Amino acid sequence: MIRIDTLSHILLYCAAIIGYLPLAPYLHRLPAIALPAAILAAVIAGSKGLFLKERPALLLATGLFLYYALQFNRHNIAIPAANLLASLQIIRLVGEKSARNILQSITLALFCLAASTLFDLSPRFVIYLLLLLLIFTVSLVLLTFQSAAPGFRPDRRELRSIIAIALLQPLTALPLIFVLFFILPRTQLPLWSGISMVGGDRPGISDSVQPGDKSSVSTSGATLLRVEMPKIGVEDLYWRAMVLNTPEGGRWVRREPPGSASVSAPPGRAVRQSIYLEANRNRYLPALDLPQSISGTRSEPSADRLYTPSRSTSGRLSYTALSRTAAVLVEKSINRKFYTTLPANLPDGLKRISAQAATAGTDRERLQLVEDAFRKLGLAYSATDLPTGDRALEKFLFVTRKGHCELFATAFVAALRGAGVPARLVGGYFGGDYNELAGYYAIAEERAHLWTEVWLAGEGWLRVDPSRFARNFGEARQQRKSTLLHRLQLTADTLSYYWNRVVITYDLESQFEVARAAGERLRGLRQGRPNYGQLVKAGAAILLLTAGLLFWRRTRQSPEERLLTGLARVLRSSYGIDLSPTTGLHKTIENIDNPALHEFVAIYTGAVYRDRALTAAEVARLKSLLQELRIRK
Amino acid sequence: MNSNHGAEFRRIIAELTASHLPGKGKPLRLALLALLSGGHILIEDIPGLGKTTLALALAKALGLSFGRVQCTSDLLPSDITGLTIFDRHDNSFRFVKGPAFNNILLVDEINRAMPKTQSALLEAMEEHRITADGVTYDLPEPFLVIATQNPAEQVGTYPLPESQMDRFLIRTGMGYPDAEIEKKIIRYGSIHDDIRQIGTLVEQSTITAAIKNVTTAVYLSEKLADYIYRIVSATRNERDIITGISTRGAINIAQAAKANAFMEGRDHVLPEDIKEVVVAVGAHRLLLRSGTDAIDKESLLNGLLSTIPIPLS
Repeated sequence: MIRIDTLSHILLYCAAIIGYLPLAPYLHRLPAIALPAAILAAVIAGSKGLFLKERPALLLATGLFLYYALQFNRHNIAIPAANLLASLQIIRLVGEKSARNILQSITLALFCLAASTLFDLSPRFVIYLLLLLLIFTVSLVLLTFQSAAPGFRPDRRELRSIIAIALLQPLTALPLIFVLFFILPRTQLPLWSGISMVGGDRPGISDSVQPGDKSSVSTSGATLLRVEMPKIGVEDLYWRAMVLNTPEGGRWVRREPPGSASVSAPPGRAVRQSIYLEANRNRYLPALDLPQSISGTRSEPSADRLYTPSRSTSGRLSYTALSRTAAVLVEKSINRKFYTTLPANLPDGLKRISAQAATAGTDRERLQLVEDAFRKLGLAYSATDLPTGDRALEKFLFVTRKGHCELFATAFVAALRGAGVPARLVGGYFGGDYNELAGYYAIAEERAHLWTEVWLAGEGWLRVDPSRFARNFGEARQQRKSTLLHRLQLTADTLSYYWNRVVITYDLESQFEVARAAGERLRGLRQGRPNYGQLVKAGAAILLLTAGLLFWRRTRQSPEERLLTGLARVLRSSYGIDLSPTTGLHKTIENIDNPALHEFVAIYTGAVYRDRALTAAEVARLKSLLQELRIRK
Repeated sequence: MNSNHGAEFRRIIAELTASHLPGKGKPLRLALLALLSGGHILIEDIPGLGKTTLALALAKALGLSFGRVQCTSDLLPSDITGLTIFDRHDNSFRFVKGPAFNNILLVDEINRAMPKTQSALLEAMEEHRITADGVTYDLPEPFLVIATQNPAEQVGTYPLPESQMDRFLIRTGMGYPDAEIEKKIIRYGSIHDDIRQIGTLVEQSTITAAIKNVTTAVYLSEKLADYIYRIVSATRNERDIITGISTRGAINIAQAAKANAFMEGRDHVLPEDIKEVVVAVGAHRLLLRSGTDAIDKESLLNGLLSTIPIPLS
């Protein structure tokens, strides 16, 4: 008859194979080959009683763990984890097969299976899972026998009853599993890919603008930006997030601007903002126009004051910005040709406006003429029924005479450029709902806006919002819903604001970033000579941590205080007595006939009034007495 | 520490109040506290409430020698301390010890004695010895003075000044007995004669050991020292009080609290001990602003106590 430990070994190998199969395609080559080899080796060597000793196995496991831990980073979590699990499984397989190790090994197989769901979630998973669970429970029963009597050889009848008992357990649990499966929310996506896919369809400002590419403006009320700052006038609420300077076919795109610029420092007031930005498509950090500096996250400013974060990020961001609402971007001389390139297919009416304006002597006068011409057109602002197609600008300017900010801005820039005045498109957001409760502006995605900047010699880039030439700009853009529902939404938004603040302060990504950077430094440390500055920094950090810990220990409640609070609670709930600060404990309870209470107070005061801390035994006794008192009530 | 000592003293109180001194538990206990902490007690009440009986019964129960001085305005210091006489038989001077050379000295109506005599007595209380004609005699240990005075009577008295009151560890009243007890006393008459029958309830060595234990073996925690300090400093900052409790007063509160803890069989002081003794030990040391005579010192101190938080943890 078969020995019971042989039986459990066979089950172990089955479990290892089941754990390995779904994970195999995602493993590095070495573990992918080594794991089946280890199973084979274990089968052959195990029958001869050979195995890897505990100490070298531990050493090997530690080494592998370090190796894979260093590969961890926020973009790469699943693969090192899977490889690590496989490696640990290999070590367990070639190690000694004690009952404990076999259980660990089966658990590792279960983990391997779970890890495979990070990459792929196929229906096979359920089959593997059920098989593993069966093996797990049967092994548990077998291992109980094995640890009691390793050489036990059950005959056919005994074996059958053992396996029947072992099978009965998961079978009775099966209905429960199905209940849980349906009650508990199920993930429909492979977990890891699901997380990475979040970036797929993000709101925000697009990298290019094509007038006439849509018939209506999307209205999504989702908040994209929350800005903690004092309330300022509506006319100043331009949030700069994008500059488009080059026509390309029918579209406007962004090219890296030539030259360099500086922010003028006029008497315009400086506004400091703390900005919480939701994940979005835009590559630049929005800030109140005109941003002077951005801190809190590392970023590079461009010549036209767009801030690019130095690390690409897919998550939320928080940073602070300093802006001057009345400031002007000063650029002494510019590449005129770059900023007067005309888009193709301009309507004739627009060309006429340009030609008329070009007759004036200075850029300022030309700007004035174009502005006047736009005002005379009698345009209206509208977010729906927009002209589409190649001739969208013409329809907008001369036929329907209504359109949205993109049409206004692109037409205006084209007209200016036609007249030889350097101009560009600036994208971002306009306005915002001020939350008086928490003191921040909530800027919804639908507040996306496009305006223009015009360069005047000796002055710099002036902001001109051509949408304001619309007859109804005020109603269309500003007088927005101030209904009760809207106010409720604003209040609800406060919650997500605070949530964001907490989430951003404790950002999992940045944790991974720190861990990865530490890993890199560790590798650098091993190759080169140790960096003493960093060692000193690390030492200081440890000291600081220790000091913080000590401080925390000092400031947190002592066990005495906690016990006293517990006693006060019991007295109040059971006897309606409040602990008075001017009455001694014995006096307080002197008329209560409860030996547990008296014992508690005697032990407690015995320590407190002898100037010694309660011993561990006393604390335990007091706690159990408190428990007793609580129950007795 | 042998905590049984405390139990023996509790037994004395229990037995005496049960048999001979019904309703006198509180002054009896305070007298014992004074004895254990090496101080003296001033009982301030009208005559006829059993002050003498109390002192006598206590001396009997403790098995200590008992002396008594009835103060009058012509009482001389030597009437208390003793005097040197010429012994014709031996042809030499001999010191005849006065009533002060007893373990328990009852000084009745101390405010009737003239200041000179008072100060001689107070000196003996403080020093525990007497110097006569250049020779110093140690008083027996333990030494407890139970002084009484009648606060109602003002004619022909020399009230103890506050500075002298400070010498007494404890001041207390006697109080009328409960109605039931008083009726019983009326019915069965004075028990003055029975007191002679009281047997010794405790060894003298036990008393000396107990006195030593109170000072050495009872622990007063830092927190409670701070509590006592806050009490005395509160009396010093109170508007109606000119002079609050002195440092000696604070020490005495600590001593009495320790003695109280000892009587309860504990080896450490609880806040309750302090609260129990602080009025008896502290009230008579307060010097109130003139015009506030109507205010009772005891209730003033009790009021202060109810504002001072106890260290609970």
